[in-house]
Amino acid sequence: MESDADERAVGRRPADELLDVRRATLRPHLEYPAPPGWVWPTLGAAAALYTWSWALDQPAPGLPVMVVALAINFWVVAHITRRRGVFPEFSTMPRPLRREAFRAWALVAVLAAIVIVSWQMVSPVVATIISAVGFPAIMYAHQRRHDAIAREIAADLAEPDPHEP
Amino acid sequence: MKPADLDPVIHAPKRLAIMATLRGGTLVEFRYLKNELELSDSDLSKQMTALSNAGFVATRKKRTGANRSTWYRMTAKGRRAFDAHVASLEVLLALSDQLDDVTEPDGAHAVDGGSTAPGTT
Repeated sequence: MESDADERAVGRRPADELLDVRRATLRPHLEYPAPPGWVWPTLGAAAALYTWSWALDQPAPGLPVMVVALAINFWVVAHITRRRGVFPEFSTMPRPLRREAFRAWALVAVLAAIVIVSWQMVSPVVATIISAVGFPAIMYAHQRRHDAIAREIAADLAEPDPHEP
Repeated sequence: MKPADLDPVIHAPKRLAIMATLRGGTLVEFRYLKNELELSDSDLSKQMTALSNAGFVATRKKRTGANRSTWYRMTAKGRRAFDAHVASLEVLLALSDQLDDVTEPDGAHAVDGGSTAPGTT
């Protein structure tokens, strides 16, 4: 460990160190591979299964179908996390990304309400179709907006420090 | 908060970068840290062992099919130490700014930007 003392920031300014810390803390939110294309139809199928499970007799066969739908969701999230190699911490998420996440969750809540209403007032089939298309569409749009915001933040961070000589 | 709160384990640049990355992620894989920080396997292992021995990092090994992966997360102790370290750096930055203000009228800087090298704090 003592050899590390030599590689310490001898002569480094606190401002440089803090900038490096900020960049590194933001890294898990900004730098990772995009999810593969099959994720969206898979999420759509899981959403459709979950919605349709309510139309089946409870607990069987409705409950097993529901469990399968949830398992698919968890598996997709686990796959994306493995692929990225990082699971971002929400508390350190930059404000613009956090706003975008809240926006996506609000849209998911609104769509869930629409699905419930259409289930009651139209038919389970229509509600299932809305689920199958709507939820992955929201997540896909969220991913694209997240990536665009992340690129902007990364570009800001990459700008040279005006205090540098 | 005093500059003396700078943690000697975290203060090494590589470990500071690792801790900052772990602060940004709930779970971070070895491969991700290696690629993002451009460290060799042995170097990263060495740094992670130091952080783990200090109780700042928890390790979880996972096996998916034939693949093995090692995931890290920052412990509560590590989070406290890291946040205190960053707060100390901010204090140092404020102090160095004050020194700059004091020395600027003469156009000469008595202190080179407030180095954080050991012994200067």
